[in-house]
Amino acid sequence: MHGSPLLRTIAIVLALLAAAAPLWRMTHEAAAATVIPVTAATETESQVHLAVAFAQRPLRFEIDYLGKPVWQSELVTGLTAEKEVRMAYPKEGVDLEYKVAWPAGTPLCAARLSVAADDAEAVEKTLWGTGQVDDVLSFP
Amino acid sequence: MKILRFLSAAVLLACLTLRASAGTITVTSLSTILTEMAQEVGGDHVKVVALVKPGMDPHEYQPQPDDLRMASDSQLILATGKHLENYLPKLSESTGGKAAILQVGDAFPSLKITGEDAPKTGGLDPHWWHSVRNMKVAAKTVRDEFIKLDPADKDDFQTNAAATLAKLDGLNQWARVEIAKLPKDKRKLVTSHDAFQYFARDYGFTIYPIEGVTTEDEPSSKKIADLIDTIKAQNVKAVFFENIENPKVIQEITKETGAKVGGELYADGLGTGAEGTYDGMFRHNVTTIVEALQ
Repeated sequence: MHGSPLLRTIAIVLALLAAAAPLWRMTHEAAAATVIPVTAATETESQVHLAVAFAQRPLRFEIDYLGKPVWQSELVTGLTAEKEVRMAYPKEGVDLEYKVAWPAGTPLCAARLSVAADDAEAVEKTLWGTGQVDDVLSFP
Repeated sequence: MKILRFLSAAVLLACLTLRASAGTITVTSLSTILTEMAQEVGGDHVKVVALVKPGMDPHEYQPQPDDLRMASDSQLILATGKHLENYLPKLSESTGGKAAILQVGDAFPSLKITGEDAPKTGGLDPHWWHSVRNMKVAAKTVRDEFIKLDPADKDDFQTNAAATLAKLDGLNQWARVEIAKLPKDKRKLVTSHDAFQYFARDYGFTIYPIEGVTTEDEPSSKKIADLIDTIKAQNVKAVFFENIENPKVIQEITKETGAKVGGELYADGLGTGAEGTYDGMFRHNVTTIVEALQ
């Protein structure tokens, strides 16, 4: 390495200054990124398997948790359906609101809802009614 | 001629008797909840005198001489039961036992309360009306009693009771959906007196009472300290006071724990205005609880 010490110092300072901006951005993003998993971790979501079965094909159905839909089906094509969702599932269990609408004139019908959280065994509950039915089913 | 007169008088008497049997039942009510129920189920066939009025504390009510006179003139006295009205034996004695006393709470199983105040009510929670399920049994009990007293108007009592039962079913359905919006691990109820055991059973809440069951009681310092520890440990978001309670103790607890004051709950009966009906009171309590604990 040749050249004056002053020039070498200036070159090093310039190199450091050039690296400062990306370095700041990297550390800032890293800090922001660490916040997200902490928030997500407090949610403690579970993988929940939902399955529905109907005695008669309904027009539509909806399953709500804490007042918000976790599964909405506007066009039901068969008598059974299933879905995987990620949702909070406290050890105390969950209450799911199950709304089913059958065509007018359909006789008394049953709608089953099966819930399995993570690796737990599935629990089934059945709702009975005609026309528009809306009830809360409790799952452990 | 004499025979004819006698027969006419007999027919007239029979008609009057029939008319009286299909007349008005006079009822004295010792509960705001039962006053409304008697009016709904009885309709035009009952005249209800309410001795305990909205906003009055049924734990502290004692009948006055005028009340005793009105009760004496009644055919039926409706009481909450489950030891809420400890004056019932005296009331019965002073009215000469003329009016039948129906303790509606006897129609369904009791839930127990614990703690230092439990002996005052025989360890039972008398606030059974916070369960819609219990209210349905109560409506049937009142209906059957009215039919016994006035069989001629049986159809009307049955029709009115059916309408009341349908309304209660709708209310229960609404409550279940509203409470489902609250995660089960947040269903922890800290109230200013232990009056919501039936509500807790029906909707999956755990109760942490600030004091015993009657509003006369002042909680001890140790009890408050224990409660503060519990609220912190259980991460309870809000505490509640009810319509006739001084909220000072609750304010102290919220300061120590950081929990907020959840709002006013109607524990001892109907309020006034929108909460002056059972439907309004129950909806108010459910909405207040769900919003505060979310």
